[in-house]
Amino acid sequence: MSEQNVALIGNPNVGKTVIFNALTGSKAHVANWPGVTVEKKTGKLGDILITDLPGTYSLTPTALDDLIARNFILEESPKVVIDIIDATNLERNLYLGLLLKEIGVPVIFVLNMMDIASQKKIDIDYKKLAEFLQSPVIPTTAIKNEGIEELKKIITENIKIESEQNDPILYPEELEERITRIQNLVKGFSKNSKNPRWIAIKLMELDEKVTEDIKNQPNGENLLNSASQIVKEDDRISLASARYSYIKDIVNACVKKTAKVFDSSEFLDNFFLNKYFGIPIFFVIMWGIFEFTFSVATPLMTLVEIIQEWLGTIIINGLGETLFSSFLVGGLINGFGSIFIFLPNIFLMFLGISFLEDSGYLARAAFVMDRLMYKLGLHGRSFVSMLLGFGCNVPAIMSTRAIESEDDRIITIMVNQNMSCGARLPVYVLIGGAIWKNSAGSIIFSLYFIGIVLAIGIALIFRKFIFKGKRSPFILELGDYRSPTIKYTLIHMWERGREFIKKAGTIIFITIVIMWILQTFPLGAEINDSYLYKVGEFFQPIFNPLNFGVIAVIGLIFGFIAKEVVVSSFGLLLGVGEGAANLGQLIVQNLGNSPIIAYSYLVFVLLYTPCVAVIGAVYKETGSKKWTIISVVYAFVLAYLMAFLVQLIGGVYF
Amino acid sequence: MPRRRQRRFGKRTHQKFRNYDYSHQNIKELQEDILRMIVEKGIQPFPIPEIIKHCENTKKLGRVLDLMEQHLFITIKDSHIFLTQKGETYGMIIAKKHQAIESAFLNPISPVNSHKIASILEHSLSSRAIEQLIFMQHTKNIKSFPLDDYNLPQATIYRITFDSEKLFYKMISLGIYPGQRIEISHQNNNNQIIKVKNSRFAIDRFIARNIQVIP
Amino acid sequence: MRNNGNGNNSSLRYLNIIVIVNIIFSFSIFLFEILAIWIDIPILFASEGDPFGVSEFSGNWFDHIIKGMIGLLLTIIFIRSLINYNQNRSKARSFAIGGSFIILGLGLLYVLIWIAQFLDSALTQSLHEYIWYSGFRLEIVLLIINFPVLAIWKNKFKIFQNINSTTTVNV
Repeated sequence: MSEQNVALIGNPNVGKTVIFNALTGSKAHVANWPGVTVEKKTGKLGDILITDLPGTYSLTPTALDDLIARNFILEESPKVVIDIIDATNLERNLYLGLLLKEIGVPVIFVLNMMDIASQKKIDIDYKKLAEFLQSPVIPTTAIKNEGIEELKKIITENIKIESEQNDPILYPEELEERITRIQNLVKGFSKNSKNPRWIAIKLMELDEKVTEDIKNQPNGENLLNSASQIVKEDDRISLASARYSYIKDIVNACVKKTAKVFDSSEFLDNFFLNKYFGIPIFFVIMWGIFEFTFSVATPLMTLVEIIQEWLGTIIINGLGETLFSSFLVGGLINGFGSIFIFLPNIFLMFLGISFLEDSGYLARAAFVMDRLMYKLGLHGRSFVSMLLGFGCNVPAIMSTRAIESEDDRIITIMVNQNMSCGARLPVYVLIGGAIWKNSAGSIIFSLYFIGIVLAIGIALIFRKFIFKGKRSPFILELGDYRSPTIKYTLIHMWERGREFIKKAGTIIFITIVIMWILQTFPLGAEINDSYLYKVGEFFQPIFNPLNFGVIAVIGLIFGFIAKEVVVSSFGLLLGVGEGAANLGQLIVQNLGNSPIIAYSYLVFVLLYTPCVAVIGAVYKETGSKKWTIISVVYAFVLAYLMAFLVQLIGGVYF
Repeated sequence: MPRRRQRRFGKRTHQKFRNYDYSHQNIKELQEDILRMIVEKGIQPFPIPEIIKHCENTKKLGRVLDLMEQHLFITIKDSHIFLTQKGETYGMIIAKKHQAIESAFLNPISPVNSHKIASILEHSLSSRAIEQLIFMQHTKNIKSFPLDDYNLPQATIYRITFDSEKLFYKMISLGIYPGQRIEISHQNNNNQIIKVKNSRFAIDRFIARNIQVIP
Repeated sequence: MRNNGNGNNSSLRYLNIIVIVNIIFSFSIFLFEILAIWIDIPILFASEGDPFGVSEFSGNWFDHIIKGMIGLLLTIIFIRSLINYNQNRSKARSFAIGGSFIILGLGLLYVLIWIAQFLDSALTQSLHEYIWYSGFRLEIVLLIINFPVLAIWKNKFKIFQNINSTTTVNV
């Protein structure tokens, strides 16, 4: 049984991933934010292997997404390429379609979002369109699952037949004449070239990749020289113009001209993008998301604590105080508990962000904030990554993939660690609540605020001194506002959360178990003689200037591995359950009973490396050991300095 | 043979202004001229004697008409020419070209010249060149503005001037290229939102500065 | 106002009413929250209460400031809508609708928080007084009043068809 290869391609935000899910049944991530799905995803439809290529507007080799897509088509030679087109945006979407046909690969066109098209009274004669394009055209509304069965049928049919050579789309005579001349040169150069016409057109466009490939072949230079004599300077534009006029002809023939229709997105943009109100509105919405996350998560967190305690009691009662039961409670249950307790927070935040994304508002937010970001030398897009950092730094760093410029991306990644992630919250709550009680909320807000301010300041410094020069150009498509479907918003939330759990979960669990081991052994010893304590004692001197006690240091060390562990490590060390009210008091005692020291401790927790998972993400996104190490060192130094500063200033005033 | 000689010289020295002068043309040009004449005069079927009036060289004419029949541009019946669909399309293209060149070279002082120029150039200029000519006509006296310095709600893109290949191609693939009509909806200090082919883009000042537009 | 015979007339009239009502209520919230700061601050220092004060929603002066600011912003938004009504109908309407959406979102948020706090106190078996006091809040009223805006928006193509911000659909 041979595998047949099929590729999925299309502009960003046309519903490509929804169709991918519908065809393959797997749950891939969909975003209203282009660039998130840069990695290729694959799935199966029966025997057929479907690859989801990155969303691109064209196939130029200078852009990474385009290059990936184009290389896949040229090298893997899929049997069929499925080009997904937004029915409300036919003219632009067909540009990619024409490019695909020019490569010569068989194409099936999917006309998606037909529901919105009919809402906007756009009437497309898809049968006529299929004639013009000499390819099947299938209308679908993917989110309502309409047209999908038909699509599956057409795919399985087309994959069996051998494709015939279609008539190439002809350019104006003047261009055609020169294309033919170059074509002949190419044929002369390499007898068995698969598609000399395509190569000729690419040479006319001064395509970098094709040019390079030819240069690397023997006698390639000659071909390039002869071709360059035929190519004229503005041929690139001529070719593009010709394509667009051809598209215009097709569209005029196949789409009924409609009357004026109310543009609801432009209507709403009058409000959300208003010069004066845009930013305040944005902050209100953000505040709403955060309130939602923190307040609604509370009962769920309480629930987890209760279950944890209840399980613990059962085991102790059932098995007695043995090593094994201690392992179960202190190791396993504690380990899982530490993961589960912050999940509500994380997932709710992801839910909120997914909602904003799917509704289309997130792009507007990036635009609105870009005015400020510009002054910092950052992008509106960086801003969204930083925002995600409030939930968890790992997906936030992963989302920087959408930022095209290397410089901007690195700055955003470096600065992202200052965005206080959800995992640090339990620490703030525990210690903050112990000292400041009712005003703990404000204290915690001040920490977030410090994080933001520092992020901005450091971004500016990076921009001015290390990455000199202006930021890269900002261009962003603002899709229509849509009311998010519950199903897909939940799917996105789950996608993001799942990735987080996978990355962080294992590490956290292992850490807890290790901690339990270190703490329990040598058996029978007092807490101060356990291995754990020895580890703390070893590192403590570094923190002497900051007045952090051994237990606090141990918290930091394990917090390095995963922040969520800090609270439970305290619980273990002090022999108290996590939920206990006096745990907080005990920790404060270890911090010299001083609010100032406690605050500086929190500042340290805020600023130093979030966790090992983050280091992994940084390495993955920067691809450079140098920057990864820099990020760790810089975070530690910054944390130390700021904590020291706090105690200095605090000592003076309080 | 004195008679023939006389006629030839007569034609040359006493050349009157005529719309269709086919004496000096090669085959292709003659074909095109015939088609243009038929289309412009609008008479179908077109009597062959009409054509002979403008072209004395009947042998050449005969050859050309045969060729045109072979190419399926026309069919001949009873000394009348019927245009096929293909022929009519071709003829209209040529007529359009002629008109475009004429109006491009229009000179109020001597109208004859622009027509003559059109008669010559219509055979040599490609459709693309004609488009360019028309475009040039419209934009001859117009100054273009960079988009970040432009205040009207609508514009036509005149030129894009990006150094970076990547950006250049990206703009084209988004539909931002010379000739495209755009709408400008919002403007900030550093950003604008433009509407291109039914989709909205937010662009910053740097990009806007590199897009030259005209109203 | 055009009478299309399919309820547009009454929908648009409802929108006009909502704007005025929202102005009144939003401003009330603003006043209420700012006032609450002065009332709450002495309580702040005196109470022992829940050590994990973060889970409390009221009783925190910082919260009052934020909510007060939001109330003020909403007031200004709807006043803006009113001012623009005659010169730029479309902008006025978009502010009214947008403001309503924000109120609906925040209202929903309050409901969820209320439920969450109720669940939390049930789980921890502690009874906070505010559960009773928060039974009737301005925010819930606003939520109910603005609810029909969702229905109006669902029929946007019919209702706003004649508004002056239509654009030609160029496919």
